[in-house]
Amino acid sequence: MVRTPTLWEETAALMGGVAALPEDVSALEALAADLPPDAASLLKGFTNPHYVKMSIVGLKIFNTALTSILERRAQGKKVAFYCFNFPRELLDAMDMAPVCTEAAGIIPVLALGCEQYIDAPINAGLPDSICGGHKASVGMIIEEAEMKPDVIINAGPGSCDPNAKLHEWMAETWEVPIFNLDAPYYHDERSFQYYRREFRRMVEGLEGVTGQKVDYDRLREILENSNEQVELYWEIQELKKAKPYPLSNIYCVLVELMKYIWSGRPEAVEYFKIARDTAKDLVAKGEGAFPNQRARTLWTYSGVYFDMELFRWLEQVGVAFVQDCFGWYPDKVIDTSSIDTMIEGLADRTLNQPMTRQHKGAWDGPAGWAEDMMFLSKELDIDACIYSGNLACKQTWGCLRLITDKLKNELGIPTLRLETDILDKRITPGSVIKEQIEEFISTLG
Amino acid sequence: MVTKEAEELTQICETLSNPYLEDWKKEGGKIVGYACTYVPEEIIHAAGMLPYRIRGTGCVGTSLADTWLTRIANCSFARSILELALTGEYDFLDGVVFNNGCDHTRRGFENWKAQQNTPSFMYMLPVPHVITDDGLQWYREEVNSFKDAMEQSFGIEIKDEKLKEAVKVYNETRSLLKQLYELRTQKNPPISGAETLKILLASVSMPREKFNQLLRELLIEIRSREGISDYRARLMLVGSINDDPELIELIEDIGGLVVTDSLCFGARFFWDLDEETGDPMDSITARYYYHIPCPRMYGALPQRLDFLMSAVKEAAVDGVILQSIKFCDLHGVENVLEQKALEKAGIPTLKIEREYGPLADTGRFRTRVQAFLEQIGK
Repeated sequence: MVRTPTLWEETAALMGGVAALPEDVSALEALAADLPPDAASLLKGFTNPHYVKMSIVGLKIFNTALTSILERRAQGKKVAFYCFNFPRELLDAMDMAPVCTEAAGIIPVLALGCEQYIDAPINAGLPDSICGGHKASVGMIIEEAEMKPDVIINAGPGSCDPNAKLHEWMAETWEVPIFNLDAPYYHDERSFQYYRREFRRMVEGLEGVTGQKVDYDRLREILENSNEQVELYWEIQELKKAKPYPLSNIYCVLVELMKYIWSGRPEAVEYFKIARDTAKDLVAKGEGAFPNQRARTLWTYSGVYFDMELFRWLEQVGVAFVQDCFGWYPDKVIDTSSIDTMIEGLADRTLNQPMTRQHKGAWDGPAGWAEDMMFLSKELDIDACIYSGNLACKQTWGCLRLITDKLKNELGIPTLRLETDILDKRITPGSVIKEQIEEFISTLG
Repeated sequence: MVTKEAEELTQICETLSNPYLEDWKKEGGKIVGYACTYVPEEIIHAAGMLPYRIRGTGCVGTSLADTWLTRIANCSFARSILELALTGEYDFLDGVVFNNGCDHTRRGFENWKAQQNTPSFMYMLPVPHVITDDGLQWYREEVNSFKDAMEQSFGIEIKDEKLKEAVKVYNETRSLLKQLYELRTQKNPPISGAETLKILLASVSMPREKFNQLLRELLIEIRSREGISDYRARLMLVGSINDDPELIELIEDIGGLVVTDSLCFGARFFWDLDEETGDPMDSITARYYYHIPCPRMYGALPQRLDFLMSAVKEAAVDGVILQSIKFCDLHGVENVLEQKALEKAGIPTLKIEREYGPLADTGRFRTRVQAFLEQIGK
């Protein structure tokens, strides 16, 4: 009997063409023309002429990451699912096959569209108010049992109920061990110390359950790469301040994917270097990444991912996607001189991951959502904010008015409120989102 | 015959305020509202104040609250509480304490706190989401900070002897409520689920010593009742928060007698006792931290299932209703896990999503329960 390829295998096969692409827009466009609509839309998001090299490296990483997981799994390595707010570097150093739960679903959605997978968890009885990012991943495993993990790391407790609860459901349903990392409510030294102990408890447990130890020499090597990423990230943050805006909108999306699926790998470093060099070059020439720039926007949640073409469309209408909350990584370089400094550095970095950092505590607390969005608005000279209101995201919806009022009253920055599912195009289609953004931008003057 | 005690205790829940609270205020007493089973009431009691469990009673719409907590993503219980706060219904509170219990309520608290006319004491008492030694230590420190904040804000001292007294008073309530729950396990329970909830609501809405006295007297009367025999099925109610006796009446009106529960306005709230020896702060902290865990506590599903299964067995239930308020993912997901465990054990279940209180779709709920009763052959 012929085995049906899994969704990931199908995605990897579909994306295979990217690996051989030359670095020019016409090649990307030609490939897009041969692909089904969702995959074509995905590629069209990457067609800023200045950033083709960066885009192709990013797209290749999609494929490399998928292929690597499939290969590692075939070699019998343990498949470890982790939330996007957890550093994959540790799992890489344990020689596992690390799978970011959200990316596991997002990548196939971007490439293939896969509404049937989004619906599967609802058919299994789960509430329809859980996050689209999880629905797709959970649905994939409901449909394709062979993709199930061997172990789960749940970094959601404290910052997002549906995220954390879904990971618990996965562990119980598939009968795999889970390690819960409890994010404390505050963001002070006491909290960091608590979280470091949580992190150590998790590492010990993970080693015990999987029988796979952390290879600290390998971890040092990986962290040195991710430290280089961090330095490049900060350099690019400085370049973002330039006017006209020198980065392609797709940069921010790929930053997140680099973090979720390939952080600590040389290819991710290469991605940041290309982005930095391209932006630097444009700044030196006094040019922007796209012409006729009208507004610099801060997306106070994330982007909308089901229609990647949106990011290129924004450029075409003069809107810069300067920053989003999920792409805000106030990471520090990790001291790799000892095992302790590496583990503590990773723990500290985890507590500063998007969502954990902003939403574990009060909306207006230290490192809370308001503080970060106010800081970014000022730092990056933002004209307008856009909240891509993911309907599953109760903790942001629950304080949205507080933060939009603060941005407006204290900085004079208006916020557009979208109601959507960042992964499911059936809730609010891309066409409606574009109309709303156009109308909003036209009010800015 | 309805006794005076029964009448008093079952009427208190009908409104947010009640004559006991009015008398308490008239005598210069302070009332501190709290919203979750992880807030140690004993500390408030030992401070000489009246701990009052915040609820959504009497809310007839959420138009104001919806401009802060959105109706497209936030739960109707949290919105109802906020509505009552915004419309001044909670003006009798001198202080408010919330936990980071769930995303809806913690944000509800923040929206409340951000308003201009709030009680002067608005306090967040964070609780870890895991049950570990380290988590206990964290919580202990938080409970200490809460006590310190109460002392500072109200200019009082909370003494150990008062804490010890509070432990005794609250343990008595828990023991009395347990007796009440034990009576419900009888073949012909002398009390309905709706009446039980009303009594529970009274316990958190009036001076506790007075409540204990009334419940002691009422228990004597309840024991003498003939018992309810004309029911079709013995049911257990689990899931999202419910402070609405009408929801249970809806079930009981069509013959489903609610004989036990796993709810935070229910067994989960009073089941465990404080240790009465040793340091009272240690005892209180441990009791609240380790009590039957809410679904917000990760890694604690086995404890929740143990309690669920033992309650099913003790009360000889015919079926379990697993309900969740729309957008309550903690219970929405938990219910799927509990349903699986119950069905594996051969216990019939009804899993249903609902809205809270004034927004409830009661007709649909009633029909689904009716269908469930028929499905289980009752």
